[in-house]
Amino acid sequence: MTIEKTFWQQRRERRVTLVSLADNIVSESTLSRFEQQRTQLSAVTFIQLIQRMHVDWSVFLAWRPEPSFDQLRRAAEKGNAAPLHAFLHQWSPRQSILARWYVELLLARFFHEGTAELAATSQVAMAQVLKTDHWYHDTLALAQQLVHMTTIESLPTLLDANGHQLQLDHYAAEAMSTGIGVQMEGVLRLLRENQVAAAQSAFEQTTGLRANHFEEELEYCITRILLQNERDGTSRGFATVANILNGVREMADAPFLRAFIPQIAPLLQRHGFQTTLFDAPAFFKQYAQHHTIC
Amino acid sequence: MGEEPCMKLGPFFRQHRLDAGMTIHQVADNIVSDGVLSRFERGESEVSALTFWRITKRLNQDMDTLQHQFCHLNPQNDVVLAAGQASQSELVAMMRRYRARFVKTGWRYDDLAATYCQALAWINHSVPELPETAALDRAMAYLEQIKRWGSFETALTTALVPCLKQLQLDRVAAALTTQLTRDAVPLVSFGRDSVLAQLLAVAQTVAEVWIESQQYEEAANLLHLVARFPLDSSMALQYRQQTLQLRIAYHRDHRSEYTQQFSILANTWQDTQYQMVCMADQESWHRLVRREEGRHDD
Repeated sequence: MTIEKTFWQQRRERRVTLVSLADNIVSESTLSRFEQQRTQLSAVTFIQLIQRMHVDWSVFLAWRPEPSFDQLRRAAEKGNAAPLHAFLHQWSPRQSILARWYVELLLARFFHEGTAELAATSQVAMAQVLKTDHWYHDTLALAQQLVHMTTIESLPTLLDANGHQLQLDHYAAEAMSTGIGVQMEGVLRLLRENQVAAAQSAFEQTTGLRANHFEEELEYCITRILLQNERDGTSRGFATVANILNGVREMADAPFLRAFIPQIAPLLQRHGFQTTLFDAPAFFKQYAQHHTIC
Repeated sequence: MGEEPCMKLGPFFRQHRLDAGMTIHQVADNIVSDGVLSRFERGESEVSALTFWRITKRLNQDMDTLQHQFCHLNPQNDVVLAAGQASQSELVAMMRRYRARFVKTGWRYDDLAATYCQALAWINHSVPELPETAALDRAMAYLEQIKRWGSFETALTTALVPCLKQLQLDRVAAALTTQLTRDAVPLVSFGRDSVLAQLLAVAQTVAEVWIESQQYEEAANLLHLVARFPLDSSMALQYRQQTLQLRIAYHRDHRSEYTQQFSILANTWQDTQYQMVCMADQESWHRLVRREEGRHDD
């Protein structure tokens, strides 16, 4: 269906008259001729009009990227490599190279595939991410995997850039949560590598920001506690960690646990984490074996 | 209405093209000349709506995400976003402004926006009055008229549900059921902020209101509908689903293990910024137990 026809249908369904919709944006006659496919509207005018009658953009492009970056990541977290292989198989140079790097990083991280080319892929992907002024979706997704796959030496640079993006205030809710999650996962990796000062400064870049989603909020809380313990040589806040992990266990959020537990288990074990709420060693073993973090 | 956006469409498109790591030529090829696209991105010229959708498709990004981002950068045109960022007094001022404009122009979205703002303000106790029954009925009629709800309709429903009386709630539930059974259930995960995720969240809220008013069968049926979707796409949906189902399970069979399970789930949020969730859920469980004990005594 043409966008003109869809537009007309949406307007009619909402019982909005031409004159009231056009008011102050475009002339009534132009709008009428647009609906009859006798003239075109500029993209800016079109978007003002559909915003005025609260129609979503997706109505005019009834199409979604299949599979999306998020779907590919979820498949990897669930231990299913098939969609990733299928994606690489159909990829062509007309498409974004970022998507290809993204899938290669997922395969290396979750399935240890293509590790011979990993260093080269990480390097070009890092260069791409760092030269991009405004990260939104694809660049942020790439950063999310690079946090685990780039060299430990380059990690503080990546986190500094991510922290900068978080402060730019250009992210909608979902991207803000993702960005905070990226920063926390970077902090955790630095802690595992005993780089406490770098971890502390990366953590501080999220000061004043709040995750809009449960997943990243939990990552944030646990990371804050682990950072404090590494910095002060203490074992505090474990009651909170135990409550959170016990709750997520009860929710049986397996994809979240598979991605997150391997990142925190070594740190918790290092500080003698214990709880009476659940069998911690068995729990760590269950989720830590799915993949190892480099 | 109709203000020029702060973040122009061309520069916005350029940032997203660079975010996707694509060149001007890759995006423009066979649709428009490289020069035209380049001038559009610099804000120096326009492209047609049709061209815009065609080049946007090449970015291979989710349209809902793009729209959210654009609205986030231009919140003045979006009542849901503007209300989300407003203080309590600003929210009340917005409500009055929309209402006054509706009286003047009769534009139905000003009416809906005013009702939306008032519902939010009422939930937050910044106005004592619920939206008028007539205004709520107009909003319900609007929702029933829209075949496929988008982000505006789901946000409106989310705000209205706590304000509705029994009959109106039944109407919303019927409309929601239609929305949730319209399409095939997706096999793969969906976005946490997608329209579908919001629809499922509203359905859970309706179920919660029903549980509070002891309509357990209706609540169970609605939750059953929600459970068909891959809820592991969002921890918020998964959490809410489990805690609601536990309430129904407890109503059917007063087992102490349900209380224990519920408390494990609610305690997840105890020391987080979502501790309000923990407190509200614990309180609601206590109400449920008291109610059930009363029923038992009868």
